[in-house]
Amino acid sequence: MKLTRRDVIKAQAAAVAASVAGIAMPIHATNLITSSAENQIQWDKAPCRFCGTGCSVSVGTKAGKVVATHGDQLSPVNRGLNCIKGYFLAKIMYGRDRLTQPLLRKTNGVYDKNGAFTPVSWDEAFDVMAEQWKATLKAKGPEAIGMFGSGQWTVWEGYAASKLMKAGFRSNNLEPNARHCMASAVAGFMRTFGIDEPMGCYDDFEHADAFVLWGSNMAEMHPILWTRITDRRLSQPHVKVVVMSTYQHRSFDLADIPMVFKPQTDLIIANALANYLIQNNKVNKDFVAKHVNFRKGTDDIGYGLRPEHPLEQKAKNAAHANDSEGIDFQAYAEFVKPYTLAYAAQESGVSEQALRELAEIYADPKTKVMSLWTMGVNQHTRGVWMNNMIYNLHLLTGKISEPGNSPFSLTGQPSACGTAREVGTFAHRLPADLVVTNPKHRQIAEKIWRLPAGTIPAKVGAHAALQNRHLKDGKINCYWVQVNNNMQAAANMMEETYPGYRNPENFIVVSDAYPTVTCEAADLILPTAMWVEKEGAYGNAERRTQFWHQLTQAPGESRSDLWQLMEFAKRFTMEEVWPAELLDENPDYRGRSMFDVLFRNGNVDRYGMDQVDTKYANDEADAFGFYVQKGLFEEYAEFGRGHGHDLAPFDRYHEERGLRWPVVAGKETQWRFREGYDPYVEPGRGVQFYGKPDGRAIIFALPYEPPAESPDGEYDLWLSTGRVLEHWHSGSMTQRVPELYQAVPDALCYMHPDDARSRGLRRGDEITVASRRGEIRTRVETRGRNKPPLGLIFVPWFDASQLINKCTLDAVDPISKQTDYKKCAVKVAKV
Amino acid sequence: MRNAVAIDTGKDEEHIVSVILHGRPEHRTAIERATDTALGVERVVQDELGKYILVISAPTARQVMQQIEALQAVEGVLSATMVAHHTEEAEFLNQEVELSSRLLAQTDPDTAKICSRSTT
Repeated sequence: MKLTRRDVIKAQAAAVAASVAGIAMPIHATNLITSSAENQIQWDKAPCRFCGTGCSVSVGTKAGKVVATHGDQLSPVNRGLNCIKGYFLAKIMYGRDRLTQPLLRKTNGVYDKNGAFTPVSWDEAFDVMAEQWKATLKAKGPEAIGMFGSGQWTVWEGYAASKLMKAGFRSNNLEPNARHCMASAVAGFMRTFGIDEPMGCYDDFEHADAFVLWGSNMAEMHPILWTRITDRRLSQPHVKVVVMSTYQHRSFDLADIPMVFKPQTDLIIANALANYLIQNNKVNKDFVAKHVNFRKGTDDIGYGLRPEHPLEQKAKNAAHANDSEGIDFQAYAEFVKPYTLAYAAQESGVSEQALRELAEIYADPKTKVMSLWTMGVNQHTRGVWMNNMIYNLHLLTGKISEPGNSPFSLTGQPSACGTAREVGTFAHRLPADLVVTNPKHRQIAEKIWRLPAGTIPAKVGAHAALQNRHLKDGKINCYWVQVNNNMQAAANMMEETYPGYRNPENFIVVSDAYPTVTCEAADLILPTAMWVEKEGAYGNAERRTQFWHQLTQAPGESRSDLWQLMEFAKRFTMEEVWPAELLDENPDYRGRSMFDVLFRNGNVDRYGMDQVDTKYANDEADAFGFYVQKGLFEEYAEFGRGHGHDLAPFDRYHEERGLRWPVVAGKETQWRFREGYDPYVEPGRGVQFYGKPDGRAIIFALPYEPPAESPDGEYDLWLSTGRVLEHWHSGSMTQRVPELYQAVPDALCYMHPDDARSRGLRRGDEITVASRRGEIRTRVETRGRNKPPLGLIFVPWFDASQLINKCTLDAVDPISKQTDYKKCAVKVAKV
Repeated sequence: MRNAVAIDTGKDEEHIVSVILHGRPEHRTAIERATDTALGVERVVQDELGKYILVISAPTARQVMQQIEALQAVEGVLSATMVAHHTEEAEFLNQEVELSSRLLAQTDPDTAKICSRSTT
């Protein structure tokens, strides 16, 4: 039998797919055999570096280059499947325009804000950068220093950044771009449960009888999880899928109950469902009596705009947005009583019949419900409220913390949970849900970090949107952006983002693998190692922490964000970063470098080079002379162990396809708060929401309030923005993969055919989309994957040549400070 | 500095991709007509619930993408999900290989184990 390598590879590819699908292969296809000498590929596992699903991928490297990938069959998340983004993972590292050396704006050989990007050495880059940092610290203090990172940072990168900023520079102006995607989910969890992240897990998919998508296009954004829902729906005829959105998208293909609602009326629908449960006696009274408290949230909380904005001037409670007062069940029932199904139908545009069918899904005690949401709920000026209100439905019915009954907040980034949230890279946070405003929490962090009392500042730093405003206003002057493209991602770009980056008072540093628009607006660009070019860890949406080894070398002079953070710390003595009083009280810290104090503290440098697996490269360990990643992780893990956030020992994660925290006595936890599943629940309690002191979760009475901006006579259309499957977020990586770029080359304006017709527009026409803040040129699309209703357009934001964030409004949820990218008013005109 | 797009330069590359296509069983005829007439697409095996294993090969990854997009657009297709991807020079793939008892040698060992179980 003569065979080519092609035959063998094809047969193998088919066999892997068949095995994943659970289909037996025909005999003739299994007869393919090959010599082991052919096997020149080294296979290792790594989590995908794109969305928050946390798929594990088998990565094949040959001669130092990734040549093949397939879904990891041993992964409980994706079970061998691989979506279109993961499929091209190998290629994201090999874009032709990969940055390979530091670039500084220079004129005549010296730094000049208006100079041209010029290649420089790392030494020169850090010299200039440190000079700027030192001058700013001296002149204005730590609050003039800021950093913007990401849910794409590895766990230890985020952790090192947190130490560098909060303990080293003593500035809480540290934010992840997860502020744009997960902050409302975080605040929702903290308000309702007192502890962050979902109680359930992906195993819920195979137990649920109904799936309700509250604002998530899972078919495109979480395709692997969507295949689990599709499997469940098609193999179990009783299963129902409800898809709610402000426009029709691909997830509607599977919907038994499709609902297109008017923007912002999800608040009304949620209250109407709660009212239906109460009016029809469907409340699980025993559960509510034992496990729930009721509170009424503050209303009229504004939109997180600049204080002088008329909307903020008008808002009664903008300064107390997160306040609430205790009420009882009766008061809550009265509060939601006006929200009838008929009223909800009238306001939302969804039929009363569809709303009743949805209400019955929650009402029927035998139907296990999984509620799922991402940006439709989170990127919302009342996003925290929406999170709270979805929990209300699960708490009223007791459908929570057990297989199949699961309110599940999905994430958009690979480590939005593991890094941004768990490590605490937000302006108000410390690791393991601790916050900077709590003196006891600061004390815990200072003790673990081996730092003097009073090191960590108590004042909450500037959140993402505020950082941009502070840059524009010259309050933050030194700013370091790592692993994200915030110039493109932040709302109201022309008024609030770009001016700050180009403010002559400011020095902006951007670490990235590719030349994004954020790089373009920077003063110094640092080339970054990505994904398997470094050892890493991510935490996905179901609390699963996953590790990978370094498998290849980064090109040119690229260095990981971790190396950059730690190496930069070497440039400072403690006298240069800490005030004299702190050093007077703690003279032992005098004369030491910030690197020594933060990273040579006896914890981080605890594990020597002998602990590094010799099978793999580890550029950071080589550079610093100890097992950096292990030291950082083990120090970080101290925060959560014994406090409901337990992580396993470092080495175990290299063996596992991830583990879901809390990991207690070597065992992961699938369902939190439920006795029998969660070791933290006290025996006999049944259910215990232990994030709250009395073990009770909170049902919040919250009203409908209008969006910050709605269409009017002049700006007569809603604008919603978002992603498409082939591109991930701003497209800085996926646009380097030609086949992804060619699949969806340029952003389009998706529009209802009648809206196009009434404006004299045809499919393919060039148009301007304009808001009160800016405009872009694009083309009309009246067919295809996204089908907006009359009065709404959808423009994705991956395209750097059509920056839709010139149009969006920087209104945020006043509690979570997360931007609403889904609602503002625009007009469309033919060019 | 534009947010430039790199161009696929691998002129002799060949791409081999396996796909699980999930279709509604009532649309079987149309789906199979589509898979059987598509260029470079082989239908390896299917089950009664509407799942198909396809192997797509093409000289450029772009053509692979186009085939998948086209299949996704066929009525009754709910998803077409990729599993394995291999890219190498066509010349290398044309080489004949020796026979031996090692099955699935180019798959990672864990997967190979599972595959041998499910295929024998």
